Amino acid sequence: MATAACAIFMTSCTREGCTDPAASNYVDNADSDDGSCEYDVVAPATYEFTDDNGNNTVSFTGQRQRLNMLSEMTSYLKSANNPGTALEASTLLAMYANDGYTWEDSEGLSMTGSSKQLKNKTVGGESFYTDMFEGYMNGIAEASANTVDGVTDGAAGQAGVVLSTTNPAKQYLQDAQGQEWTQLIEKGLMGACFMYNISSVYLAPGKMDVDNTTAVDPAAGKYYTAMEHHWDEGYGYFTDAVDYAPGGNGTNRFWGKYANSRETVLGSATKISEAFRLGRAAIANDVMAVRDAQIAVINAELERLAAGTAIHYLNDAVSDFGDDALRNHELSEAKAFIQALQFIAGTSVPTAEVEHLLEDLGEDYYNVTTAAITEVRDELAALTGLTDVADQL
Amino acid sequence: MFASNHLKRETGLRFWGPVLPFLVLLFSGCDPSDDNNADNFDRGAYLTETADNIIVPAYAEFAEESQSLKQALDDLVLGQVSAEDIIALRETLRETYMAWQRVQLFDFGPAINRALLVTTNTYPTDPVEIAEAALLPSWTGGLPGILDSSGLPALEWLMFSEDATATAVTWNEETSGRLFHARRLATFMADEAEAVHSSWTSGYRDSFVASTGTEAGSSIGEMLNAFNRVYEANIRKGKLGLPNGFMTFSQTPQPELVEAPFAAMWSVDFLAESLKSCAHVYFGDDSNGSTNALGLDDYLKSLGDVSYGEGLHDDIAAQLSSAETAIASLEDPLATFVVEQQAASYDVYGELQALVVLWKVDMMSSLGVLITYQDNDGD
Repeated sequence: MATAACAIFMTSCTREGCTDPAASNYVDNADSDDGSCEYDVVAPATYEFTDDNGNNTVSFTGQRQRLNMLSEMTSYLKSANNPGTALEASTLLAMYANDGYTWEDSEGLSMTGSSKQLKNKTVGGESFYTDMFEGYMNGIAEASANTVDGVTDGAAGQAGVVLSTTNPAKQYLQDAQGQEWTQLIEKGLMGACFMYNISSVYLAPGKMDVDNTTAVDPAAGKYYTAMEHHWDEGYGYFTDAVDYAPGGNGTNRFWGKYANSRETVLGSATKISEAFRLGRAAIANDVMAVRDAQIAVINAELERLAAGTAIHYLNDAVSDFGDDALRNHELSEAKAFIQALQFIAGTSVPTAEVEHLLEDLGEDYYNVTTAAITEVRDELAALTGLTDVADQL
Repeated sequence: MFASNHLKRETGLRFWGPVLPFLVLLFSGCDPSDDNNADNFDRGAYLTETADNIIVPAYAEFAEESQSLKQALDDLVLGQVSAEDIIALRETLRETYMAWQRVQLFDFGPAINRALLVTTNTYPTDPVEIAEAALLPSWTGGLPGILDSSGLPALEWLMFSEDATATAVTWNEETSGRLFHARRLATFMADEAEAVHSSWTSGYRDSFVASTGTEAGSSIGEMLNAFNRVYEANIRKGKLGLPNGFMTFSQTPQPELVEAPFAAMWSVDFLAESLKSCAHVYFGDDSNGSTNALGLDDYLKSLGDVSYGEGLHDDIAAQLSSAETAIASLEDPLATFVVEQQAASYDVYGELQALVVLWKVDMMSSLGVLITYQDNDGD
């Protein structure tokens, strides 16, 4: 009896309810939030947003330029998989810093001479990382030049082009330990540049705790607020397709592609793109609780995506264990995807764990064991909560 | 006849291939646990029978044979090895190799986690590498660089590079390291075989029979992908299509690529045993499907004619029988046959190829199971 009376007394003095004024069920005089807030924000079907006057507020041209830069760089890198094709280190470095390089620029985005570059967006231009990527570029240039001079066959202890023994269509230029520069650069920059900027820059407090009331520069066509624009820039590093959908547009390259590739198991393509659309609608409606919930979804799904993709390639490397070209190729991909995990806000696989995993895998892919690969796979799956689906990836 | 049939079906696959994953995505999107087929086949019972009556016993036998081989080598005394010992060893190796033909199809789960297929049977083997490895004080199995000097083919070379009398003499020379190295090779192989066998008996079997869906990663999906991949690449191509030149650009026979070239008289038997094990898996029993054991044939029949199941089953049963007859027309040494009777070996190849089309294309699409082993991201 006494307890019940006390409880009644307690609730009558602390009124519980939804305390967020942005919520549809906001209780004006509630003074303790009970987690019941509901919001009217809905995600539109595509990533298209306008202001009250119908002006387009979405822009991520800078991101599209960088995606296109990495596409062009990757296709240049891959040309070295044919023996006798020498890459110029100076060309790769010029592409990386967008310094004096003339882009093909098939979409006419004025990439040549633009201020946009991959290098200064690689982990904020941190030299530890940019030096690493430039080292890869110098490495592939040197090895590719050697294939012109007749050193074509890669093998343990010998950089060169390694031919798949099970799939005649596959051959890759790999270093003396079987590491493949092209993968370390392309997938590496997906992590150190694209992933880092989505998660640790644009969706992080520094770019989210900004003005969301005033259009940046309507006279110059910038009808978006600073917050809206930052969100769009994050989206643009995931995909540059406003109608991104599994199996549809935007699944041709980079994170949009790999999310789609693992969609049946992870569902990340759907979840990430929906969270971006919902979060953007929340910003347009100034509902920060919904925005923040979507940031959490995006970060969690980016982690599952990078880890799941790494696990997929580790599985492939075990399946293709006897095929030097494929095993090395897949381990190089796995390495880059594991490295990407450290660039996600709140990651379960921070830098120290990444280093630990890569140490267990070893540097020499000609001297790796199935036990080491499966151990790294299982550890990674345990860290990221993917143990139950690791075999399906 | 086979070529045109093959072409037609391949074209069909290529056209639908890119669309198929999205179709499946669409369906599974509604409820991932839903099956794609509206069949009433008891996949749980099928998986249980397959695991308990076929896969686990086959691994038990291979592990046991490998262990016998290791034991036989351990029992030999350096300096006292006789030609009779070598002849007895060769027979033990042959039995182990035959047992291998009955597990090679199960290249998924525990086997793929240990790369059992490539550590056990990578050929052609490299005699120079084996002879060099025999001289090394220490040797580590399972590394990528030594796959072509490991497993059954390496043991075969050690036992057959010379006649039995000469082999015994070489093995008795401590400096050759041959007996010592044969033990290391056999020990590694026996340990790996037992590790895979015990993975099956200590947990994997239970999860295997419990995963009754047909999606990618399900037991059916894993098993049938391995079945098709090994049949296509290791049996059809590896045991015949490469040696007889069919799969090569120049169409020149490559007799050195036959399985067990040093033993010389085993290659055809191994191919025949491999096909027999495919039939075993397909029918779920040793015979032609007349017993009650559940097999892929029953799975197809359960679909009825509507889904092309029953008619397809008849085609597969007939083609299996044609392929068996065709293999019986090959003669050992296969290395000689593919050179002297290349055209005849092409006919046999055609019969094996017809099964690829029936199993990989028709059966898989009838069962609604995706081929995932050629799935790659194109880079």
